[in-house]
Amino acid sequence: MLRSGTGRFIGYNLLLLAGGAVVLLMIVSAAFIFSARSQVHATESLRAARVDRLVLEFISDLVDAETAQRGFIITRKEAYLEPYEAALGQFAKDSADLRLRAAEVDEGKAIAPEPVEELIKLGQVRMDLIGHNLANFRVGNFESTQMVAALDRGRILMDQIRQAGAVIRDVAASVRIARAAAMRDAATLLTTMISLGVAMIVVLTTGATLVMIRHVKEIDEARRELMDINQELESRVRERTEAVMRTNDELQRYAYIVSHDLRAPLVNIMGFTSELESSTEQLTAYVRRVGGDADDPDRADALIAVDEDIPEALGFIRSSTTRMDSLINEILKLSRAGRRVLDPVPLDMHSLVSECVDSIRQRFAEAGAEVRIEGRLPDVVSDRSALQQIFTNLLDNATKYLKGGQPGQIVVRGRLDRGTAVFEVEDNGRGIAETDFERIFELFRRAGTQDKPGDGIGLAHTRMLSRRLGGDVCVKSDGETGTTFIVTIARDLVLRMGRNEA
Amino acid sequence: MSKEPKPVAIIMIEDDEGHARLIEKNIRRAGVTNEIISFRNGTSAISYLLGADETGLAAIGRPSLVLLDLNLPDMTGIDILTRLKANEHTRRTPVIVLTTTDDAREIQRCYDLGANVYITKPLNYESFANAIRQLGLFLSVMQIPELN
Repeated sequence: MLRSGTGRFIGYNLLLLAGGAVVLLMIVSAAFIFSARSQVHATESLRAARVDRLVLEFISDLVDAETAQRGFIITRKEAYLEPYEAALGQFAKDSADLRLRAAEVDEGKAIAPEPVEELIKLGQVRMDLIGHNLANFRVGNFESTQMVAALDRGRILMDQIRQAGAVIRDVAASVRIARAAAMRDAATLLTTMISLGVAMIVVLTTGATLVMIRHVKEIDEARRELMDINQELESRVRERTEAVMRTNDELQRYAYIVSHDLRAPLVNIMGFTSELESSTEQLTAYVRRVGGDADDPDRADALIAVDEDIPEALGFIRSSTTRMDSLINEILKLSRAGRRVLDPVPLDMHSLVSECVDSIRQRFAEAGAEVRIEGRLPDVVSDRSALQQIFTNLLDNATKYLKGGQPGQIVVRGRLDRGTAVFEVEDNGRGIAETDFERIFELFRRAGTQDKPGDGIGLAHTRMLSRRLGGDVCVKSDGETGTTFIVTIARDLVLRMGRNEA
Repeated sequence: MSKEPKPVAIIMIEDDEGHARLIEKNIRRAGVTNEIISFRNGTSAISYLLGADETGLAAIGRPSLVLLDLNLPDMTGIDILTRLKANEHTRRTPVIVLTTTDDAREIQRCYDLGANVYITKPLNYESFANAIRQLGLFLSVMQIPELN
C-alpha cells in the first residue's frame, strides 16, 4: 500500500512538474514573440516618425531658402546668401533622405513613391525658382512687378508643397498610430498571458502541495498502522510468552506435588520394609534356635524362606524403593530448580567456565581428557548458579562418554548473536545417533550403550535451565566422532525478563 | 514428665496411617511411654483439642503435646495451629510441626503463628526413623506447662 502510494505520488508530482514546465515555457516563448513583435512595431513607428520629421525639415529647408532670399532682396547684403547656400545643401540631402526613408516605412507599402516624388519635384521647382530669382536680382534685371509675380508664384508653390507634405505626414501618422495600437495590444496580451501563467503556476503549486500533504498523511497513516500492527504483535507475543510461562509454572507445580505426594507412601514402604527386616531377623534367629525334627519338610521350607526367599524379596523391595526414592528426589530437585527465582548479574563467562572446569578437574584427569577454552567467551548478564550447572553438566557428560583408547579433546567456545549468547561444548567422544537428538533431553532417558552410571537427569536439567535463561540447548553429532552441545541464552536476562513482565 | 501429676498425652495429627504408625514405633523405641492419641484428619483433632463446643474448656487439666502434619485431607495444619494458638486455654500447648514441606516461607509462617518446633520429614527412611527417635528423646525431657 505504501509503495503504490509512493508511485502515485511520484506520478502526480511529475505530471504537475511537467505542467508547470510547459506553462513556463509558454510564457517565456510568448514573451519572446511579443517582445520581437513590439520591436518591429517600435521600429516601424520610429521610421514613420522619421519620415514625418524629414517632411518637416524638407519644408523647413524651403522656408529657410525663402527667408534668405527675402533678406537678400531687402538688404542686398551678400551675408544673406549664406543661409540660402546652407538650405540648398540641406535640401538636397533631405530630399534624398526622404526618398530613402519613405520607401522604408512598412517596406514601402504604406507610403507610395508618387506623392513623395511629387513633393520632391515641387520642392525642387520652388528651390529652382528661388535660385532663379536671386540670380536675376543680383544682376539687377529684376523689376518690381516681376518680383511680385515671382513671390506670388513662390507662395502658391509653397502651399502646394505644404499640402503634399501633409498627405505624407498623415500617412506616417496613421502608421505610427496603428503601430502604437499594435504595441499596446501586444503588451496587454503579454500581461494577460503572464497573469494566466502565474495563475496556472499557483494552481500547479497548490496541487503539488496538496498531493504532498496527502502523501505525507498517507505515510503517517501507514506508519501508524504499522505501529498498531507492531503493538498487536508484541502483545500477542507477550500473551504467548505468558501462556507458556503459566504452563511451565503449572508443570513445575505439578511435578512438585506429584513427587511430594509420591514420597509419602514410599516412606511407608521403606519404613515397613525396615520393620519387616528387623522382624525377619528375630524370626530367623528363632527358627534356627528352635531345633526340631530334621526330617520335617515344613522346617526345611521355613529355613529356606527365612534364609533365602524373604531376604531376596526384601532386597528387591529395598533396591526398587531406593531407586524410586532417588528418581523422586531428582524430580523434586528439578522442580525446585525450575521454581528457583533467577538472579541475573553481570558475569565474566571465561572465569565462570574456568571455575566449572576446575571443579571437575579430577574427572578430566581420570578420563585422560583435556579441556580448552577457544577464544574469548562473550560476557552475559544472567544467573550464575544456573550457568554453572549447565556447564558442569555438559563438561561432565563430555568426559563421561569419551571414546576408549583415544585422548579426549573438549573445546568450549562462544559468540554473540544479536540479543543472544551462543556457547558450544564440543568433544571427540562416541557421538550420539541422530534419532536420539531430542530423546536425550527428556527426563530419565539416555542414549547409546548403557555402560556408564546415570539417571538421565543432567541434560533434562540443562535444557530446563537454558530455557529459563531465555534460550535452549540442542545437539549436533555425526554419531561417531564427537558431539557438540549448543547452548543459547539471552545475552541480558534482565532485559529479557523485563520484556516478558512488561 | 513422669513427675507431672497427670501424664502428658501426645496428640498426633497425621493423615497417613503408615507414617503415624512408624512415628509411634520410633517414639516408643526412644523410651517414651506417654499415651499417644492419633487423629487422621483436622476436624476430629480440633473437636478433641478444643472440645465439641470448640471453646477450649475441654483442654483444662489435660496436659498435652501436639505433633502436627501440615498436609491434611480436610484442612491444613496451619488452620489447626492458628486455632490452637488463638484459644487462651490451648495457646501454651507445645506444637511440633512434623511435615514434608520444606518451603522457607511455610516454615516462617508456622513459627510466626506460634509453632514451637518445625521438623521436616527426612527424605529417606533411616534418617526419618532417626529424627523421630531423637524427637522422642527430646520429648522425654521436655517440660509441658500446666493448662488452666
